[in-house]
Formats: sequence, C-alpha cells, structure tokens
Amino acid sequence: MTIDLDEYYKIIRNCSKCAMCRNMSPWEMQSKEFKDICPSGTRFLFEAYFAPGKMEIARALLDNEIEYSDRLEHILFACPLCGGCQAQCEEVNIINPLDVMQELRKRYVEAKGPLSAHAKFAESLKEFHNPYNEPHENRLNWLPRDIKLNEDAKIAYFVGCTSSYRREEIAKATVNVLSSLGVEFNILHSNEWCCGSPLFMTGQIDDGIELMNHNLEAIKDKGIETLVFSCAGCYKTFKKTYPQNGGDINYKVYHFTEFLADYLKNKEIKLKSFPKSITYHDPCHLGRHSKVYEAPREVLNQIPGIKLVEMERIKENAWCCGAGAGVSSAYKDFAYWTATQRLNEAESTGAEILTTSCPFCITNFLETSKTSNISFEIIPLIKIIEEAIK
Amino acid sequence: MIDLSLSDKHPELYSKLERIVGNEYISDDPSIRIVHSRDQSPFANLKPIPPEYVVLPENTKQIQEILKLSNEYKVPIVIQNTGVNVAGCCVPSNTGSILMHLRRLNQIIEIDNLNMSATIQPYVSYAELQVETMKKGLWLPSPAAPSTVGVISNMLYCGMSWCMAKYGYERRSIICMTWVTPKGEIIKTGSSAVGNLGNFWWNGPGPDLKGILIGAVGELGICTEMTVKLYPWVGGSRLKPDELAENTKMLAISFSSGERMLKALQELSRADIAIAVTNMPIAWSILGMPKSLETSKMLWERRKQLEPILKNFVLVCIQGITSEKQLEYGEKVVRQIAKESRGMVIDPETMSSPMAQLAPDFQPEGNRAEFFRAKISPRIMRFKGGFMPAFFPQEPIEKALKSEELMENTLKDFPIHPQDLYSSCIVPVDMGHFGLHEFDVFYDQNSPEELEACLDFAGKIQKLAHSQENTWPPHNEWKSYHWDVVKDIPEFKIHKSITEKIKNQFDPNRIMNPGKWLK
Repeated sequence: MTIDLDEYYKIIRNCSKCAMCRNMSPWEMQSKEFKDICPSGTRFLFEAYFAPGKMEIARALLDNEIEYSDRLEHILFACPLCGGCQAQCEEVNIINPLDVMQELRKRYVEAKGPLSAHAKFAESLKEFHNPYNEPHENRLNWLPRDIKLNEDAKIAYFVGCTSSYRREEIAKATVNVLSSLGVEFNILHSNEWCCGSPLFMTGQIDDGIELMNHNLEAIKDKGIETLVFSCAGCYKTFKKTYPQNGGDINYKVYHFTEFLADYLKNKEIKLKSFPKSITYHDPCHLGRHSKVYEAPREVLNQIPGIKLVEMERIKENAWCCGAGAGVSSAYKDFAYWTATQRLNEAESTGAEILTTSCPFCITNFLETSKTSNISFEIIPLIKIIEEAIK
Repeated sequence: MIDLSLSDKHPELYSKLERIVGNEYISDDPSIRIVHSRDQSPFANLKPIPPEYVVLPENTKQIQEILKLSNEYKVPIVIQNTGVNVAGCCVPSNTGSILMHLRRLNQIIEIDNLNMSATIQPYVSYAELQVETMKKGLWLPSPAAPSTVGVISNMLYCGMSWCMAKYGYERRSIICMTWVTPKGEIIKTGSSAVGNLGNFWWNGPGPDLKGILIGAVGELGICTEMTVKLYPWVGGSRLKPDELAENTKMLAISFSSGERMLKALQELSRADIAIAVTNMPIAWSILGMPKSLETSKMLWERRKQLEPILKNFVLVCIQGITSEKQLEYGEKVVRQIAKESRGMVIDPETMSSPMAQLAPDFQPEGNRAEFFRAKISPRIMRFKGGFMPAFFPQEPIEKALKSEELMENTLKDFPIHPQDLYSSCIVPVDMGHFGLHEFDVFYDQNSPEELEACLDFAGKIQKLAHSQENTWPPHNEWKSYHWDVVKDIPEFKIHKSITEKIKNQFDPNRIMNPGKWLK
C-alpha cells in the first residue's frame, strides 16, 4: 500500500515500541543464533536503524524537529526494505513500518535528490532501459536460437534485467522449461524495459512510473493474458507497485513457481530424480511482499529425490539476502554482510544446495560466497527444475 | 517540539567516549538521539528529552570507563537495554545525558543443566533464553510482557509472570549478579563473589547486596551479568503456535461472582499443582486474541454479552513434569476445586467460542503458545496507542474486591473516556500467599489531555488506597510516579532517608539515571 504520511502521523506516533519487529516470531524461533529479522538494525545496532526508531524519525521529520544529515540518509537507505519488521508488526499492531519507510525515501529524494549510486542506475535506465549500463540491443543475447517463440501467444515471459544481463542461465532455463512443457509463449523482445523496481524502491517514483507506463503499453499491444516472471522483484513490481501507482493490470501475473506449481498439479509430467538435499531461501519480494510461500516448496516437493531441508527463518520470518532496495549498489559491504548471515544459516541445515527463486538474491549469494567458506552449491530454482524436466 | 540542540559544556567528551567504544559505536546525530527521547509512557510522552550522546559499549570494562568519565564531567547517564518499557525508566529525565545502550552485551554465557541455571548478559531476551533452555528441558517462565523484554531488566524492575503462584516474582529467580556501581566499581553477589566457587547460591558474604539493586530503577548501577534459576520444562523443545505444549493441559474456569473466583484462585494456588494460575481480564481477551483491530473494537462494544463467561475468568495451566499421572492428578484437583467453588470448567477448544459467536471473522490463533512465550500481548496497546498500569497493588487476595471497587469508583471521575476502556487482573503469588492486582488504563499518545489524566488518576488512586489501608502501593518501585505519591506519606520518611543515604553512598555525583527514583 502507499500511505499519506501526514494522515498517518497519529498511527506512527502510537508505535508501542514493543520490539516485536527486531526478531522473528517468538513462537517460531528455534535458536538465539538465527533469531534476528532486521538486517539494518542487527548490523548497525543503533535503535534508529530498527523500525521503532524509524517511526520516531518519521514523526520527528513530520514535526520538523530533525533535518536530513549523512547519518539520516544512511538510516533511511541502508535498509533492504525486506519487510521483516512489517511482517512481525502485522501480527500485533497497525503501524506498517515498511510503507512508512518507502514514503520516507520518496520524501528524501524529493528534498535532496537520489543517492549518487542510485542516480547512476537511474541514468543507465534512462539511456539503456536497464540499470547495468548494458546496451539495450544486447537485451536478448541470452535467448537460445532453438527456442520457438509464438508471436500470437497469450502467455508472455517477462525476463527482467538481471536475468537478461547478469544471470542469463535463469532466463535460458525459464524458456527451456516452458518449451519442454509445451507452453506456447512469447517475450516482449526489445519492448521489454526494466520494470522500474530499482527506482520505486529508492524513492525515484516519477522515473519508475515512466518505465511502468512503457511496459504496460507494450504488454497491451501484444494482447497478453498471462505474464510469467522469473524475477521476484519484477513480479512484485507488476503485482503490487504498478497498481499502487495507477498501473492497470488486467491480466494474470504469475511468478514461475506459481505457474509451475499449478501446471504440475494439472498435468501429468514425468520429472527426473534429483537426489539432493536442498534448502530454499524465500526472496522478500516473492515472500513477504507478495505472500507467495508455498508454490516454490510445492514445486520442489514434486521433484523425486529432493529432500527439502528448511532453514530456521522461513516464509514471513525469512532473513533477507541483503541486496534489495538499492543496498547492493550503495552499500555493498552491508549487502554482503547480510548475505553472509543467510549463507551461515543455510550451512547449518547441512543441505547440499541453497536455492531460491530470485536472480537478484542468487547474484548476491554467489558474490558473497566467493569469500565465504561454504560447503554447498548455490543454484537457481529454475535450473533445478530444468534438470528435472530434461 | 523536542529540543535537539547540543550543549557546548564539554566539547572534549565526545572524543573521549569515542576512544572508549570506537567511532562506530557512538553518535550525537539528532536522528540517532531523537529515538531515545520518549518511550511509551505518559511521563516521557509529555516531556520528551533526547540524550546528548548515544554509546554502545561492548563489555564491562568499557562500561566502567564510561561511568568514570560520566563522574568526572558530572554528566547524567541513562541505561537502555531492550527498551521495552512503559514507565519512562530508560529515557532521559535531564538534558545533556549520555544514553548507554547495552545491545552489544547479548550473550548467553552458560546454561548449567545440572544446577538448573543460566548465566546471561543484559541484552538477552526471554524469547532467546527460552529457545535455548527449552531444548535442554528447562525454562524461565514467560513474563507478563512481550517476550522481547530483557531478562535482567525485567528481574531488576518488577517483572512478573503468569506463573507467579508457583515460582514467585521473577526477581526470586536471581542467583548471582555482576554489578558495576556508578563509581565504576565491580560488585559480585552471591556465590560468584567468592573466588571460583561458581554461580549457584544467591547469598554471598554478609547481607544480600542484590536487594539494593532490585527496584533501584537503574539509579545504583548496571548489572552486566546475571545467573538466573531455571525450572523443569517438559513441554517440548519447540513451541508450536497452534498447539499446546507437550505434556501440558490448559483449563479455563468461569465463575458467576468475583468472590467465588477469588476463593478458587487461592485454593488453586495452595494446591501447588499448576505451573500457572491467573485471572484473565475480559479486556485482555478482547484486545489480545483477535488478529484484527476492528474485531477487537466490535467485541469491546459488545462486551456486556461476553461478561457472563469472561468477567470472572481463570486460566490454569498444568504440566506433567514427572509423569502423565501427575498431569491426570493435576486435572482432577483443578476440576474438584472448580466444582467446590461452583465454577464452570470450559473446554479449552471452546474457550473463545463466545467471542467467535459475536464476531464472525474472529479467529483465535496462537493463544496457546502465547502463554509460554508472549507474542501477541502488545496487541492490547494498539487499541488506543498506549496503556499504563495505573495501579498495581500487592494485597492479600481477599482484599482484591475492595480494590476493584475503589478502582471503579475512582474511574467515575476519570476525565477521559470514563469506564470506556480499562482492565483489571489479579494474579496469585507464592502459592496464594498474596496477590498482585493490576489495573490498566488506556490512552492515546497523541493526546496530552489523556496523558495528564492518566498520571492524575494514578496519583489519586494510590493515595486513596493508602488512606484506606487497603493495599501496599509502593512495592512497585519501578514506577517513579509511585515514589512521588508515597514520598510524602509520613510512614515513609525513614524509608526515604535511608534510601537517600544509599544513593549518596553509591552515586555521590548523582549521575545514574537521575529522576527515576529519588527526585
């Protein structure tokens, strides 16, 4: 939801500072080691970095008691907006700290402009329609020549920038799986631009809306009825952020895990055995932001041989990968620190593979793992499905 | 408007503090300081005062050094632990303070299975300690507060639990402490005071010094380590939100009158068969159990329809600590006492059915795990935004009805929402030796009128209660307003004089958390 901070003032002020938002749900807590839910507060320690502190800051800003400072900028932006605090708060109160923080970022950008790291990808988005400074004409370089696209298909795969330019294996695996299942589908080709998530999450709302309008127009032109995503961030942006910003979504929006869970339920598909123990990381944009928790697990459980070993913090209580909401571009060390905590948790399960359904999480885990001593592989969920479906 | 200007009295203090804790762990930025200017209490909300510096020490040595600096410059120092406080104890009462946050002292140092104890640092919460001890068949009863509260703070203030009939006040579970005095000296209490004897016995050489720190509201020093008693737990190593703990039974009993309920509370406590015996106020059920605030509001409007079942309502939790037979026997005793007191035992499965009938979207969930590790209890605050335990008498159980009457009569003059929203609860302590009575009023933190009214009400009822020789109000030393009320009562003059001497001895420069206990 988007909120009007001024109208919301009284609710913010009534945060009871019960501190439930610092940790995962106490009923599900299994150990002291893996009990934290807030990467920002856990890393930077001052109370101002936890949600109750940020609510007090929101109040103080509305009352004109404090001004923007370097520290305040850090408090507002060194946070992956994972929504861990909001998931806990929803159980006991009505504060909606995640929504408040997003609004605070928007106001910061209106007053001071975007952070320099965020301005950089905004420039790239303007010029190349992706945040990675990659030429737009290379957007389809990943596309295997043997994949048959159906220009009249009513199902389209929205690839996303990370899968197009950084995690091409995810894009390839997704189209391979769709083809293997005999799904008639298409892509938006060069008409696919960044979904705008990096902009929306970093307070650059107007620029995000421009991208939204372009994408919605491109989809409308194709007469699409079902849109499938391999990126949790793009999915969440279409499902939640676009409607919040006036975008009209009158077609079905599926994350590929939802699409496959449904597909596997309704069709007799013979899957090959994949005899591995696997732990699954809930991406924040798919999990807490979009409430999709079961579909990825259903898909994994359909594959013979897989032993799903859960981490202690899962679903609403999942620990973030650390990369989202502009953190990996502006505060790389913090993004790696957060991912390290998650890799340690995955290690504690004894699983052979850590998997997830978001290319951005995968990228941060893989980059972090280069300097971590981990004993498991990190494999995108769609790659595992591709193996099982071959 | 909160004044965030910095004094220029001690320009070198920041760099000296920085040398102690490191530059990552100190700040004087307004956005860091502002969040410590108020908590959820009426006191702090009426007059929020930010600290001048926020520091995060890592260990006892750093705490000693900070205290020495604080004495040298005569700068007030306020300690904040988990900060879950509803009494303004952990926020400054003076300008120019150092706020010392204990977040980095967060270790469970040891869980001693054989001697059933745990040694912990201040930032360890009940939830954290429970998850680790339950794996070993031990626990510390859940506080009547969110399980995010720090164990040490809760014990040193007025921590209580649903299990007080069996285990007494939380503070009864303190075995040993390491305590840094305001002058920076270290005192070890109990057996930890003597060489390497270990932390197993609460009585050290000479008088039991820990009593001085209990209830001093942070004015006499900082506890950096505590050994606490643990108790047998057979409820399983993990809680399940929708299931009762293993080897455990919960019985709910409804009574047609307050007299009958009190008699049963006393009998149930004396029988010593339950790990928890408590009255559950109707307001807490209505405010705490529904997930949606709208449902709570609707139920509160229709509460008259719920009163026949929920007005005089007792929850009893029994656990088969030694065997299944113990559980069976416990249940028989509870049912027998309920029968003799003409109480109606309600099937736990239908405990919430009266509410479900009134509110179609009511979904009781998690209330079973709640009893052992509180998660949803903060819901009682969302109703109006704030709540205040306004009157907290300790009294012989049979006096509870008189206190209730006093409360209700005083509420008639309560200027905000008279009788609109309040709750009253009695919990037997020490096998029914006495009872704790809690009256809560609820207020909107946005309304100065409501905040003032809460304080006014608290003062009025304390004085009234004392004048009627009804209760023992000042037990609850963790609230400064109680001291304000009792300090002028003639019988307390000697008490005041002695406590002043203790304060002067320990804290001659009056740096420690000033204004919370002695004014």
